[in-house]
Amino acid sequence: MKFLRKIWREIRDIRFTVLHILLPAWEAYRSGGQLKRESREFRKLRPSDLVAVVPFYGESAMLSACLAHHRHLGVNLFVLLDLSEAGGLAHELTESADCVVWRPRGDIRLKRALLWLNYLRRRYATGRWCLSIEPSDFVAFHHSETRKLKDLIEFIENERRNHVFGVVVEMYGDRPAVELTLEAGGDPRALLRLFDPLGYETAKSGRLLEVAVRGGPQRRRLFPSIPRRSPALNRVPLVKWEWYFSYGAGTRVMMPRKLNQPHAVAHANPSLCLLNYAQLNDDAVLSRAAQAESEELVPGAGDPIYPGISKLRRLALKTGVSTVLTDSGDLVKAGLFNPGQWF
Amino acid sequence: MKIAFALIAHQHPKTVERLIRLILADGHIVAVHYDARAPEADFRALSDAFAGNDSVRVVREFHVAWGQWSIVAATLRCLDEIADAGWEPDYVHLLSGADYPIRPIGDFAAFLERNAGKQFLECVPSNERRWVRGGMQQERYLYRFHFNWRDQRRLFDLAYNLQKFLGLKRKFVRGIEPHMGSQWWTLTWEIVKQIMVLAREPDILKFFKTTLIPDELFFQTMVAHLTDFRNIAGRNLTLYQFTDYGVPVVYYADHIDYLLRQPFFFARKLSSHSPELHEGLEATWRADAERRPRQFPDDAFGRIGTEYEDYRISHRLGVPGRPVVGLLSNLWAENLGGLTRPYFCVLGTSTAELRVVQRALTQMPELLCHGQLFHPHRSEFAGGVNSYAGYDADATEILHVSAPNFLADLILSETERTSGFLLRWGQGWHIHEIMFDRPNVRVAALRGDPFLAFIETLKPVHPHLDESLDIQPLFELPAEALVHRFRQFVVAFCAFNKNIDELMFSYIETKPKGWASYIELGETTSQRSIPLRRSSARKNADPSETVQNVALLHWRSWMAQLGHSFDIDFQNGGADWSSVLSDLRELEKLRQVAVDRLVECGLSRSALESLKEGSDDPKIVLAFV
Repeated sequence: MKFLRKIWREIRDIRFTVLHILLPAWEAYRSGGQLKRESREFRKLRPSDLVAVVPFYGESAMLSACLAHHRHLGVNLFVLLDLSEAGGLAHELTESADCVVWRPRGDIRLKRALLWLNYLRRRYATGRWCLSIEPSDFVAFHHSETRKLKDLIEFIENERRNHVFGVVVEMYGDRPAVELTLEAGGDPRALLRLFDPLGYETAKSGRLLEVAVRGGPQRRRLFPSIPRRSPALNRVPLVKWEWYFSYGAGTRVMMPRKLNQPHAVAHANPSLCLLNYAQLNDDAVLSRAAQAESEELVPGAGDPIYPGISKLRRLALKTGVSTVLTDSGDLVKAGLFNPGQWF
Repeated sequence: MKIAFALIAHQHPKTVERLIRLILADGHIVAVHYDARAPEADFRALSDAFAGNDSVRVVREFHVAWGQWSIVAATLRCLDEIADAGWEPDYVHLLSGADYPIRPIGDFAAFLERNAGKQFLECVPSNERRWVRGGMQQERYLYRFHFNWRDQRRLFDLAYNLQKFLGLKRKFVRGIEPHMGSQWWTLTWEIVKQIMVLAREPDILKFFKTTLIPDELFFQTMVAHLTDFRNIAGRNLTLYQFTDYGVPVVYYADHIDYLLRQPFFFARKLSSHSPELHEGLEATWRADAERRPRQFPDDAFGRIGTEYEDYRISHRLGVPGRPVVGLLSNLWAENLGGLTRPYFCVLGTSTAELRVVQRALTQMPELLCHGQLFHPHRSEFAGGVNSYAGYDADATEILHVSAPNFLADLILSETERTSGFLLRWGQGWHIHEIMFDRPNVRVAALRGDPFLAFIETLKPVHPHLDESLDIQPLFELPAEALVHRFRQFVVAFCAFNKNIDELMFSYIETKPKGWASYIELGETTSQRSIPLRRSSARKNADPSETVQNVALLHWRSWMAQLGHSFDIDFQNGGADWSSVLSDLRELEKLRQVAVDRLVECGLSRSALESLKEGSDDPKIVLAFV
């Protein structure tokens, strides 16, 4: 009986591997044919490259600040997927030597964005560290004012890990975001300076081994009576990519599911924060992002964040506990990322 | 004082070049070994940068692998270069490419001038003392190691286990006493020359080639063998620290203050991704610099503080004293476990009595007393506000999802005063058990009056603190129904009190003295003593030892004790007790009404009178059932 059970477990594992790991990887690989590169390849890839794969839904005002921030942190190759209605991102970025722009052939089916991005990660980031963000996300980690992402990666590699856990922190201003306008090339960090230091919850979710983090302004303003349906803020933004890896829903969960575990057993590894300034985007951009985000390859990965952002940008969110973000120390104090033993 | 630096590098030629130029500027000399497996272009760049310079020699011979002889071979190769060049320095200092001075090299030379003749290296007799923090120590030389621990792990384990199984231990070469210590040293040229002679002896070479991590063994053993122990300083002048994973700590630009207060001359390793720290350190050596390295007496150098170790140990499971998002797995217990700020919790059986406690506590301005936070319909925040710390009073659904986070947020959001809350019987799931478990929570269990609690159970929902006690249901219910309800109530009430007593005694050891107590309302103190523990497993324990931590206090003395333990001057509270006392008299009257009504319904007055505050005696229960 025991033997049969063992065999059944093996079969189940193989079935799981095929259905949830190899099949998505294969689909992502196949979907590459629907994309075409719009800018020229600038140089040969190096193993030490740090690649950021970024979908672009039309956040043109914010993009340059985002690229500059992550360039400063040490990202040296940006792979952008132009999913905007108008297109023309490649033309905008002709000056930037470290950007490669891809765009779907034919009409843009936003539901396929997840597969397309997985394809680009596979193509550019296999064997390298890959940062998966959106143009409205700004990465922050322990002492990110003085340290680089390469430093974080060095430490994480020394802790024998190949992925970093992250949490989205929604930023907001004194006034509703609709009343603020971001000029082209402006820095969104000057407009939205507040964040919620309290009011987050960590829930364990079984199947995919991830922890579901919820909270922040969305939970307190939009979901006070149904907090379980407030969006999942947990992310796996930084991964040392292998060919068979794929994101299952947005960047919330990954397959193989081992990559969703935020920390080692009995040892807390460093994590990071994604400061989210998406409230400054207009509704058209947000609805495109929401469509792309709604696609899930793996069910039960938590609720998406974008539908709430378009409601949130019309509300005044400031409360007594809202704190101005000055440096990464504020995020440590709020417990939003864990510095771990990174001295 | 002329110092030769033996430098072993394997990457980042630009940083290495910067380090060499710094050394040359002070008139010292450098022999560099650059790793054989590193790109040819890197080596070319480095050797071309110093082509024609007589004070630098750059060589490349071995592929340096962690834990193997090659690392000592590369060091010896550097020493050979120094001898070949005929430099004849006073001291030799071993450096790696990731090292950098944290004080001016002039200070280092002056230090060696003052301590001339001393050998600065860590040197621990490894047969007598434990030096390796975890893992093999004597096994490193008792067995033969032919494989690399990192790259050939399986072969390494197989060979080691086989030797262990067959008992193939060996004696140390020539019967020398083995010594261990850190790899980084500062030695006089005389002793280095003697070591170089010994290192050419075939038996010694053969022995050390098959030891594990010979860089922490070879020079240490040789120095101890060649010189008197009085000449060995037993400490090294390079700062190095390790993580939990045995990897050297890397220093970044934000560590500059930390490095400036370390009693060392060099630090290992500096981040190679940004030159900010290198520039920052150099800036502190200028004569007009604001920040300068802290000065130490010569004896203090090489003795490390505990700052990093404290950080490493305390941060193993997240930031101390803070619940960290995404970190904790056992949600109910551990999210509050991360919280170390002191707060208090008053357990009670009825809202009417808790209201008296709250009224008394709000007269102490240094305390922030929330109401019944876990009321099923509305959380009662301090001051009766509708929203506190981003939580709405009416949004109680959030408590079903994350009550510990909610409580932790409330306590953390108040930075000046000490927070606390009231917990009524039947609210907050099992959170009272967690309250007893936490050493930073001051728990007071109210010896609740059963009749007041009974009146409250007659209504379908728990009353709020701002509602007065409603005795109407006592007279609306028919007599049989009331008696039936009362019987059921007494069973539950006694069970609850028993549960509290057991918790009080089983968790009292986890708390500081006086942090858990029973309190008693009423104008006069009753003669009732605190209950004795019932647990049979603990019968043998000395009762006086544990019971002294639990005390039955009159509520005013309890408040004095509470103020005392939170460093609050109780007397300056300007307490106006008259309203509290009148409340108590009011409650006494209501209690009497309830007793009279129950007697009217046919229960015996003597049995009712025996039902005291905090009763948990099964015999009393039997009288009613």
